[in-house]
Amino acid sequence: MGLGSEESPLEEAQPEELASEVKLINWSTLQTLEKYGGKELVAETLQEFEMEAEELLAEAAVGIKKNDYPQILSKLHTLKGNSGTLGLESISYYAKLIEGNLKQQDTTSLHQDFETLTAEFAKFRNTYKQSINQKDQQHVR
Amino acid sequence: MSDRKQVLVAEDSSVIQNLTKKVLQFQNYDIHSARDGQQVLDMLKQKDYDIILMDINMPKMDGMECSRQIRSMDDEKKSQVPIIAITGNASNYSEEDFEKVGMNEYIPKPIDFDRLVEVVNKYAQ
Repeated sequence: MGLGSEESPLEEAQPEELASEVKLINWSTLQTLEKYGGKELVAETLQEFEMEAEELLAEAAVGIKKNDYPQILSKLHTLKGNSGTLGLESISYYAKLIEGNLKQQDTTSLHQDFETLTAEFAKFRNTYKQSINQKDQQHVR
Repeated sequence: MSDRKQVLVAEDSSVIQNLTKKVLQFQNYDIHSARDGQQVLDMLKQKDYDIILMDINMPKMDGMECSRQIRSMDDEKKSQVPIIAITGNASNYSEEDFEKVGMNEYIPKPIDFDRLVEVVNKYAQ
């Protein structure tokens, strides 16, 4: 079962173990999009995601500083849906983990999980353009 | 007047909004965008749509309340427009809850765009 699925019992899982199995970018999800608008659509959408995710994370960070849990939940819920739709599994995974914990009023690992989420996003931001180019070259071959 | 089917996409995230727009334009639909439930109601008063794709978590008015209000509109055609919920389900609604407010079908997030196209094609016929 994929980690992004709604049925995944995150509460019982070990995040570190699970996290090692999730991909930063699942290209097979993006290939579905390619059918509808080519590589341009994929590149454009990832770029748009980068901009929107930056805002969502900044707003969630403000929520964390103010202990405003509804704000954190709202921003990370959107981030979870967007990243999951684009196959950005590790970002979606950590957004979902934090959302699940907050819904149960468990804030014990909030700061640490948010740091990890931010780090996963940074990894994505620093590598996705290069990854798209590499994928293009693979297609050419 | 275009023969193309008119689809209203109600979604506050620009990533999902633009992506859905491009995927459905590729399928020859005319796409119109709304950012919240109130905007959906305002647009529907001005124009008829063939399908509404409705996010649940939106500012100002959420998709549940918006669907309720559409179903209680006086204009019969407008009140019966097919509504497809698109949701990550932050509020843990059940399929029965979606049915109760008059939604025809529900597509979970993360969105599978093959499934989305299939459902839109079904209601566009």
